Amino acid sequence: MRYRAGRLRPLISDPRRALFAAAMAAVAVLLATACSSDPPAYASTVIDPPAPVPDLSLIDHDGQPFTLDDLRGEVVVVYVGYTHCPDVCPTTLLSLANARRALPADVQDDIRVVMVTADPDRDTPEILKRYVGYFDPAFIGVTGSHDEVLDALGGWGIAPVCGMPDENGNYAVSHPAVSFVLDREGRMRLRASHDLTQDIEVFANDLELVWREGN
Amino acid sequence: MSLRPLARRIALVAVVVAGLAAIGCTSDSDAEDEATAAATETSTATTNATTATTATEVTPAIEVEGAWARATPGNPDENSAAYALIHNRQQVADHLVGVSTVENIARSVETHTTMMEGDTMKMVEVDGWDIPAGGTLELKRGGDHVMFIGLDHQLVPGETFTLVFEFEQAGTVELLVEVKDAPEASMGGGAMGTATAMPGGGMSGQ
Repeated sequence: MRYRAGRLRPLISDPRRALFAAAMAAVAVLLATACSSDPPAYASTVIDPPAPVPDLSLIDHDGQPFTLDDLRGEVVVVYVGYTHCPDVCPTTLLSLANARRALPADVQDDIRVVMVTADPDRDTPEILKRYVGYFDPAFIGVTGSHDEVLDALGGWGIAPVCGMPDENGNYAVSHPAVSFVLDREGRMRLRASHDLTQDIEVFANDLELVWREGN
Repeated sequence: MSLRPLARRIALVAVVVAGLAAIGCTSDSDAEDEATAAATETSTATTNATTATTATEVTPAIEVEGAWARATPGNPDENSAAYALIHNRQQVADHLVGVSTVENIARSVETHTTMMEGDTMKMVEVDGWDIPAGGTLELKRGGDHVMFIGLDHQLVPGETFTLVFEFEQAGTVELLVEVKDAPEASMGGGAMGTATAMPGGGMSGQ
């Protein structure tokens, strides 16, 4: 093949350099494909392999016995908060509701959000029902006696701490800023930070990925 | 439900409307006289006489943007929170010392901050906040916020009430706050002239 000097030249005229370039290109392609499948698809922190968790045997917002076992087959988001929480809990619950609503109907049906109270002394089933129902009627509020709730949460390594009450008895409660996602087998699969759940699309995608794992 | 006297509400709304009308006519609020400057171009904030006497600039000492309070589910004795961007337009630093409501909608109104300790979220009362000269205080979800303790009624989206900020330097700033589920939900829907945008150079300290 001939090229007119000064006008058109082969990009790489030296066969060895051409070979080297081709090899580099191949490596680049391999790297690119490796990278595209390499980063974890999940934005949340992944528990791998999924870890069994102690059941939460308490009562639901209708006063009926509640166990996580009863939700086997569904992807369950467990959030520990309290209804007198003015800032973080409602922000998170609204995000969880929006994330669930962002999913296709068939996925939505299998996503269950459970709020376990960190404040059983004030959060009766009635109060919890109104509270979680405000965000999404499909949410389940879970409570119990003071000791029952603290024991159950203790099994998850969670120890809420109540602050000093003011003169009217109002107090704040420290609680995890995390949403736990259980897979359909009831095993801990993801931990999503408060900030992460604020990104509705990202968290909805994580929920759908967990949902797909069991399908 | 405790509503403040109707006359007061009408007067407040009138000030806001006047302020908005003024904005419609001019592009530069710096040139405004004190009366129109009282209702800022971005918010329903109104500064009172105290501010007028301490501030030598023509611009309002404090401007508040995007203020909203969180709607509540309707349980007895609920708590809630309010959020806003508070701009200190003064040449001096200021300190937000306290917050209250004209309508006394809550047993107490406090300044709180949410902080992370490892994975644990903790909320503590703070002694107000400093705002540097020309700086901005951001009250936002998951951070610094105004906390209402023991609301006397359910806060329903769309309702408004008057928040009163007490500043060390600027004095009191009254502000009509709209109740919403989230800040996003209100964009485009605010009937009471809630914040929409800031002038380009206005976000100092951000």
